[in-house]
Amino acid sequence: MKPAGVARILPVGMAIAAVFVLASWTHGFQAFTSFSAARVAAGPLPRPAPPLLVVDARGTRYDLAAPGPAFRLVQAMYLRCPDVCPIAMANLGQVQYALRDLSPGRVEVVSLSIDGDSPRDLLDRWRAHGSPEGWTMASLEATDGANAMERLGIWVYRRRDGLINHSTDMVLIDRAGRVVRVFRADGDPGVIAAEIRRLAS
Amino acid sequence: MKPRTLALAVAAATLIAPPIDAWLDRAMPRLLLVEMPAWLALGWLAARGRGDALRRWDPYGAAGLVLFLGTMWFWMLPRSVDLVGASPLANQLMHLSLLAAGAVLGVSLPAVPFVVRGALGIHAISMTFALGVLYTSYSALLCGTFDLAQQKATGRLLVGLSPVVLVAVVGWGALTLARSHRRREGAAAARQMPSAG
Repeated sequence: MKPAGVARILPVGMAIAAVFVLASWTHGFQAFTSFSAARVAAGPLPRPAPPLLVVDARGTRYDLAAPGPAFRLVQAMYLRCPDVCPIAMANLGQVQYALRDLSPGRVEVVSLSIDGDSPRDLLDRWRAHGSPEGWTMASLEATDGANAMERLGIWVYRRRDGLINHSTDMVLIDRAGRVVRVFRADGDPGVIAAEIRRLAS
Repeated sequence: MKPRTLALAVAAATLIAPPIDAWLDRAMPRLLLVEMPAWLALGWLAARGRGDALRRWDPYGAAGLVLFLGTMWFWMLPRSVDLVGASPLANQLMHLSLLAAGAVLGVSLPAVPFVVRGALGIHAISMTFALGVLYTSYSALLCGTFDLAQQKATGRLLVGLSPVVLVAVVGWGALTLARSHRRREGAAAARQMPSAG
């Protein structure tokens, strides 16, 4: 092909290639951050929740994603988090308070540590929040914890300084063990609670 | 080896040296406002006065411009910035692609019409300011390998940088127009001048 022909085709071909690369990297222009990419990559809702083997503040071990009598609203956190987790947990606490008549029997709110926090430390934090019934604090036990969180749609990154950056989305698991809703941590607690109430009633 | 080539090779080797590269990658302002522009500038300088072969296949600079813009858009995505911190391979790919993007821009830009260059300049001003405002005001973390303090610091620096970009782009546009005006006046004067003999 002559250079003049290439000059006409090359920019168009490259523009198409650029759009293709950007579209695949952003999951069809839906995910521009690692947080949203993990959310989209986990798959459409509803989807089965991955096994989440945890130990709670009382030392009880169980699979958080196993089918059960209550909806579970799960949010990742770690106790030594200096910035985002306390704010996100405060919002989660407001959701739990708005749903207190349904918990713990029909709705259980779970702060899930991704840093292997001990039951004793979890219990201390739970007490610091006023020992709310229906708000469980648990620690992820699985050795492939990061993988399980990724499958849940939660992005986790361990920084060089020892801190952990992670999604603070609230993931709602229904009684059948399926992820049915994902709420943003900065969402209106009243709206989130109303939606969960509708689903759990 | 020519002095310019040697200087560019030394600069590239310095940027890629593990302690310096790691130091640049560790903080969001350094990565976005020092490392990325440095690789672009290296590519630009390396391509200055070269690129005849490329111009033959891309005489209007359109393909080069697409490559440059596509590369910039890719590396400005928060997810891509995270990849630089999380994967050494992605980090090296970023160096290479920005070097190439800078080189391609250096070759393509002179061939691009003034209006398109102006539009690019306006795009650069608006992106610098808009990204700065976004990073400063957004309360959630966008680039997940850094922290909110670094995100806000980057935003403040970008907002501070935007008037500089504005002055540079407007200054370049005014100078280019003035030069073009002088050339036109010179040509008109030459036409009006009575021929000798």
